Amino acid sequence: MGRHPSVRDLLVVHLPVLRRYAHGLTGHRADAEDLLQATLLRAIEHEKSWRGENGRAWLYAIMTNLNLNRLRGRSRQPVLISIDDTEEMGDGRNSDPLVHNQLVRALGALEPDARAALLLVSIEGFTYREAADILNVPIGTVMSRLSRARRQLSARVDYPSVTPFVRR
Amino acid sequence: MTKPSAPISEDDLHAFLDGALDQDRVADVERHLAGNPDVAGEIERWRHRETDLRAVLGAYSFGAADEIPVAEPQRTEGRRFKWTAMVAAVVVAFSLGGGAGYLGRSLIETPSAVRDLDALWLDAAAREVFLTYVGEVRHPVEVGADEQEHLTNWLGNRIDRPFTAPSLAELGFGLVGGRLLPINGRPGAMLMYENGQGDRATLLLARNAGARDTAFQFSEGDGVNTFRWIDGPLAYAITGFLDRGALEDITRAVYDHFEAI
Repeated sequence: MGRHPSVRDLLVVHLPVLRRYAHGLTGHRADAEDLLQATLLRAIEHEKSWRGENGRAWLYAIMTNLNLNRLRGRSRQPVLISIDDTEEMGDGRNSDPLVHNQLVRALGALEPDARAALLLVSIEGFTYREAADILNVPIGTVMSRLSRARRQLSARVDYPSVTPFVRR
Repeated sequence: MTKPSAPISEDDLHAFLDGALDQDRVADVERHLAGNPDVAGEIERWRHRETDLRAVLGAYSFGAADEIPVAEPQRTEGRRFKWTAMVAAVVVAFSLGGGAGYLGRSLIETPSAVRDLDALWLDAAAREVFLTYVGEVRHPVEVGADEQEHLTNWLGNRIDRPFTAPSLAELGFGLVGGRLLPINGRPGAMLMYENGQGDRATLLLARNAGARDTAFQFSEGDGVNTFRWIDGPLAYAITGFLDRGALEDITRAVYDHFEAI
């Protein structure tokens, strides 16, 4: 037994929020579960690279990087859609379906860098410094990505004054 | 007024929202917002969006200890297997309906080899898409005809070609809906039509990656007939179990429609 908790303990504690982050990053249920699995395995395989501090940020950094790999692979290759899983994530069980759909689409429309910055700061509650470390960029870059994400999200989402999915 | 302070920057607005400012600066930003209702409104929108987003994503915040894989030295193989299995599943999906799986295999194994859109490729894509979705009773389309305007706006945006759905009512066909598809490595669109007897036809719109325009070309195989043509930035294909004459009528109507818009 080491002095700090094991990676397994770390994963047990952070599994729920990692799943949330995976869904935010991918916007797609099956992709999110794949990303989550890959992150858990990577963390276990690379247990030694965790120095026993800031484990949460370490896990988020792994997931962020794996997601970038996923997206890079995807840009070289056609997107594959299986017929059983064409739905975007979510069943809106805890939110207004209109709000849910608009937000999920708007989030999905953000570029990956801006999306990750927004999720880390606003949803996952990291400080700017922590988000910068996770994304491996300067704080100023986190701020500009955050700004882009917020302004684009604000411009793309427009409720409840209109219902844009209804035929005129 | 108190002593002058530094102008409020974009970063200040975000740090204000994120609770990352010290007391004095918070007061500065609050004064700024009081005098700039537009900015204050924008920040309120950010706050609302993100509160809602937290609720939406919060639904996925679950997990149990038994989901954590047990550490084993062979883990790398485990992951590779998973990806292999996923790719295989997709090949199966593309092969449904008796097709040869040509599209699925080609997309996965040799993406560069199919990058040049030619008529053969278009034909194969049209057949596979048709055969994959024609038998789907519940989910042949992602977005139904009841949201037609949303459907065509969405697909038009994704394929970089605004369009409206052709009406085939004179030929007895109504729009069922459509979906976004990966076609030749780019977003493509499929619209499905159905007549009173349940005959279905699909219209495929794919980005043309530089191939020359073509005339209508007809192909058939296993009862599946396709008319295809390339016109500028887009490649078109109409596919169905319909006979050549009926398919030709649809093709002309679709061609005329896209010529006009």
